[in-house]
Amino acid sequence: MKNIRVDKILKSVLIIGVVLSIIIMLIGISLYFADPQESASALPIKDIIPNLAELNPIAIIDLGMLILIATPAVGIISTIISSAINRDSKFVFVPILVLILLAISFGLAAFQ
Amino acid sequence: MEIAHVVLVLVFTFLAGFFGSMLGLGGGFIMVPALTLGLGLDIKIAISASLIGIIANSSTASTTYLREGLTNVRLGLVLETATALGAIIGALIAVLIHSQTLAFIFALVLIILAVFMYLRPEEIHAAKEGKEKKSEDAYLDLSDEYYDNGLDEKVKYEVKSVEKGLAASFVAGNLAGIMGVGGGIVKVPTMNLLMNVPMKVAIATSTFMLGITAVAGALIYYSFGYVDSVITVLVIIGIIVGAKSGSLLARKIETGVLKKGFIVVLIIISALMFMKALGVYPI
Repeated sequence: MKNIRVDKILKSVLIIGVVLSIIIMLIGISLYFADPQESASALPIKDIIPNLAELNPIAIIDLGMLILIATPAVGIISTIISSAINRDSKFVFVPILVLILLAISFGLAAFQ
Repeated sequence: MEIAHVVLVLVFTFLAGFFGSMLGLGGGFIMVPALTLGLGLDIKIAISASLIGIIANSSTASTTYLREGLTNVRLGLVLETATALGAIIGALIAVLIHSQTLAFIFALVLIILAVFMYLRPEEIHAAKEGKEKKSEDAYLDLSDEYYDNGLDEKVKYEVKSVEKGLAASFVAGNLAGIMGVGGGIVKVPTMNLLMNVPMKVAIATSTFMLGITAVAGALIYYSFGYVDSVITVLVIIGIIVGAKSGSLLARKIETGVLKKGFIVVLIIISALMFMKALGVYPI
């Protein structure tokens, strides 16, 4: 059974998430300054996708922001998978618990 | 948004990241008051921007520590069970109370922080190596080792007092959620002084934890509509650039000097935040 380095995979997830989110946010803020809007308040999560189709700068920024916010959570998922593959059962349970707590926060955000 | 405001946000958050990285902090203690006092932003919007900025900063800095093998991911995740819960509760309290009350709490914590930094005991830079694993920690097996470049050797350490660590982590999470800070000011000394974790590992592990803690709090603020997308992006840019710059200069400046300066700044900011809370601050 391959011994997967949890920290190496976690590092890759963090890098990809941060870089991707910043690129998207920079695109969004460039569009915003090209055509500033009155309100810069973040859109409700359910409204982001419909507004993306119209190239709404705030929606683009918010998409990048949510990818950034999700990045540590995806990192935790990667540690769960890595630990499961390494058959390290004790450290599958702990990150699952953290993920449940983050999911509670996300649930409040998505359905507010 | 006016150009002057854009520049001010970038300058404030650059300084927050710059000095924060030198002191091993996320920068929220500088960022939130700077945005609130300097730009007149609602403190809840400043806190949400700070939390999201901390996610970016923490994730970026963590990649370096992970590459160097300093982060104890297992320990971080165990402590995060308490921190994340604390952050959710803290954030819910913050969004539901009046902004002026929040400013008052912030000012009070800054004073306590200043006193704590002044009185803080000496850090432990190399933990005592345990001869055998203690039965209380054997189940979780959080002990680890890292390569210390300064000593040019591998250092093993045994993590102790996990229960105390969890309790302190819950408090750190509350701070994070209520004030928009990462909580590192509690986590690092907890790991180092209570849990026998060497300082380099404590900082690296705390940095890893900051992002997860901030996620828990940030989503609560997002759900209650306290995120300004444009300001948040500017905060992210400023804090990442500032933190990178600060980490490059950190080795050249004596920590004691920085700490004394930071304590003075904390006291001044605390006084201004009290004024804000009392409604007598001009902006």
